[in-house]
Amino acid sequence: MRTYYIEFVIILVLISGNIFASGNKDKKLFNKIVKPDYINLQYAGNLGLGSVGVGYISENKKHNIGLSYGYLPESVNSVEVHTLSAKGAFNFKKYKLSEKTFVNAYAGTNLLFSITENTYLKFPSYYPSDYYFANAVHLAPFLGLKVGSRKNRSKFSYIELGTLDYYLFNRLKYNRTKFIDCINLCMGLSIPLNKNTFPE
Amino acid sequence: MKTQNTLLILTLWVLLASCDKLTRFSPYDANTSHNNVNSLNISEIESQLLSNDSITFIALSDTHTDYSDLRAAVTTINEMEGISFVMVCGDITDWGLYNEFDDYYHLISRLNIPFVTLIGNHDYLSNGKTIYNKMFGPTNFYFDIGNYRMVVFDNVVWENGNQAPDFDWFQETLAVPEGMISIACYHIHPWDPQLENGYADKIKEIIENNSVILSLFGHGHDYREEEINNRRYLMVPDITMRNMAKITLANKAATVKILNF
Repeated sequence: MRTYYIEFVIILVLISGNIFASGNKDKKLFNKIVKPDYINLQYAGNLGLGSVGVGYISENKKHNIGLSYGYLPESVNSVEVHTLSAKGAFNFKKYKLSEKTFVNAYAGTNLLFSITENTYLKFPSYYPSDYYFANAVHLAPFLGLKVGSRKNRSKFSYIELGTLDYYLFNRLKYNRTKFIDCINLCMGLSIPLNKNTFPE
Repeated sequence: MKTQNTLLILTLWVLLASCDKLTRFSPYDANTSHNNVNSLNISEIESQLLSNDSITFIALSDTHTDYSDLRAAVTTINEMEGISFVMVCGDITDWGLYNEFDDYYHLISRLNIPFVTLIGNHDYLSNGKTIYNKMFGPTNFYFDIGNYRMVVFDNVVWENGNQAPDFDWFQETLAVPEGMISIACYHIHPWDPQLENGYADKIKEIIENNSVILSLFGHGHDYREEEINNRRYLMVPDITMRNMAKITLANKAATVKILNF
């Protein structure tokens, strides 16, 4: 559990440092926090059937962080799951499909915290101490593509190919041939809240 | 551009919808495509004719995510003759995730004989019990083969919300008609701390009050065989020890042989 907290803090410090350090005035920092750069809606991808969130883009537009809430209703597969996610990503490649369309390739990870049955950060007191590791948190790394129009800067779409720390570990450990078993796809729509923070 | 964007979104949506395998909502989901696996296998076992009131089966335990060991066990069992079924004594996952249940099923279903899976404490974690119920069925069940009754008892306590096991069901199910004898299978061994508050004594008391010739369990990740008050208790070694128990029931007695693979 301690390891997960350390990972969480390191990721947040690294990413938020890059994003917020550029605003060296307190007011600018405050505005940056209370006014996210975009909101996003996502389908699937370890966060639930659907998720909603807010995000922040760094001034050089190379990095972004986000916070999301996802929900999987019981009606889908008999279990209800609430998920909170902190997301960090960086753009590593830009493609110019046409004068009108941009594509950015990016990579990053979600830090997931889920609430469902028998899933804990700290197990109840009737368990001996350190009997299990916390099973409510996971890292979910991903590769993504965002696509949008340079002219109509009101929204852009994205698709992400992701995995989960535990699945990845098991596949590497046991050398399973079916890599497809540990990856997943999700898609989403981001809506910038002002045109200056559009990714292009 | 608007049309292009709409087409792109529609294409991605169709891609996702058609790639069911790639669309994962949550690691804690219970999206399993296999149902009632135990009852289907039990039907096969029950349809087997006993020769001379004798039956031989294999017991494995604590397979967790040790897939290379499970694969080796399946290969070994498929090369053996005269085995009627395989009993897996629980802990088939580490974290009760549906991916783990699916991986287990993917390997164990390569057996060319029926298999029965009971629930372990790890299988309860996350939404594991819901997945187990969907995939395998109820956690307490039994089946009869000739004059032998296999009683599979869910005795997980902590991971089941610190609740007592259903001892009434255990007592009633072990009360077999005269001429029959029982084999009790459960995951948590009687020496484990989670059965300390009188539960282990209760299990042993029920076993001693009924005609149970052998108790099988896992959880201890070791081999242990004991006789207590004229009743036999066998801890099946975990799969990483590359051991399995070959159990023959004949003449109302059980013979146990530990095989290395």
